[in-house]
Amino acid sequence: MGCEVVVGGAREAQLRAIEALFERHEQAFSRFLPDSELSRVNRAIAPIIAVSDLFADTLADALRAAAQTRGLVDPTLGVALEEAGYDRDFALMRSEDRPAGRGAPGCLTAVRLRGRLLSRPPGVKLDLNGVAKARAVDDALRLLPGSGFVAAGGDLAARGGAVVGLPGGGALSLHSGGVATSGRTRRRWRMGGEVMHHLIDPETGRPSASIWTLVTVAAASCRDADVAAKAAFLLGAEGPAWLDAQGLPGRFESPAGEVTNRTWQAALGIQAGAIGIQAGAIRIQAGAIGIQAGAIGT
Amino acid sequence: MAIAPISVARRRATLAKRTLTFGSVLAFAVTFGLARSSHAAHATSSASGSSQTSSGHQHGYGDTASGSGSFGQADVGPATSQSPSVSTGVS
Repeated sequence: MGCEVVVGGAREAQLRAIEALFERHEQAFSRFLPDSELSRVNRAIAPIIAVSDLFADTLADALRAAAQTRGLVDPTLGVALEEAGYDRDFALMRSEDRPAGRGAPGCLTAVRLRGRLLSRPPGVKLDLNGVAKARAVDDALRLLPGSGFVAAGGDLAARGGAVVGLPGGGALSLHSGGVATSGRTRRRWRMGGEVMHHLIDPETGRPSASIWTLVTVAAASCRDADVAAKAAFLLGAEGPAWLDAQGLPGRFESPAGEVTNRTWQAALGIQAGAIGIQAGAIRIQAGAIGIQAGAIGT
Repeated sequence: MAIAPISVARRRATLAKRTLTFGSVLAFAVTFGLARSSHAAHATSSASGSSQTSSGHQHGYGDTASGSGSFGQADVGPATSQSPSVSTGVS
């Protein structure tokens, strides 16, 4: 999934189980592994195909996320990502002189999933990263016996209390639930001189022109936080009020400064200032996914 | 009672069989492509964000548009320590 996984509160056996869980998700949902289930689904030409239980569960959840966000978090933007130049593992990406494609808007309404049978229009490529990684984080947390946390890139879930340092500075105490940060500061590149990123506006099929650089959201699960953060980013100036309407705290960063919504201010106050990075972590590299065991502050 | 010639009877039987086959395909298409049984409860995201898909349920965009897909809220507060347990990145 192109990121390091950090786990707190796990024993060795649980770390191995979590590593295996992320490997399964990688094998199922990677756009860049030719033998992943997602790649096979995207190559398939049959109008109706059978998918695995894991794939069906995740796609069903991606469609729910789309409904929750008025279609903003859209699992049908695989072609749009490729046209933007994001057609290989991000570690292999280089800025290119050729211009990006024209964009490929989503086609959510044409996707149907009945049990494990999937129907979608010809040429549609799914991208389930809108929910897949965050769901893996939530699933991994359930493997821990007690208090702990699991973090993968901008996605984190915790139980029993953890002080979470946020990108851009500041921190919060997460007693239970998830925190996610979506933004255009990490996965960005140039195509034909134009700055591109991976958060696609489903209406245009091109990287969003959102006013925000980062959006951080806390919710009951990492999945909910991640979906809401992406939607709030894509909503632009409407993002803070939309999160308030969902009852979710959100912090927004833009080149002009930082904004927090009313729910954030009620729950957390207005915090500023960076906090140091965790120390004393044990790094265990295994396979394609790095698992890092850290101590939980409880 | 009129007795149809064997060839006519066979033709009618073949026609009936074809009609049955077409009807089955049509029924599947209707079930798969059009039937939108109520999934409100199924569509609600759990607090943990996980879900289960069972055969017989259909998912498509709009299944939760009626408002049943609200987000769950975190138990969160101001940082209680200047030393984070973990620092997150950006997705």
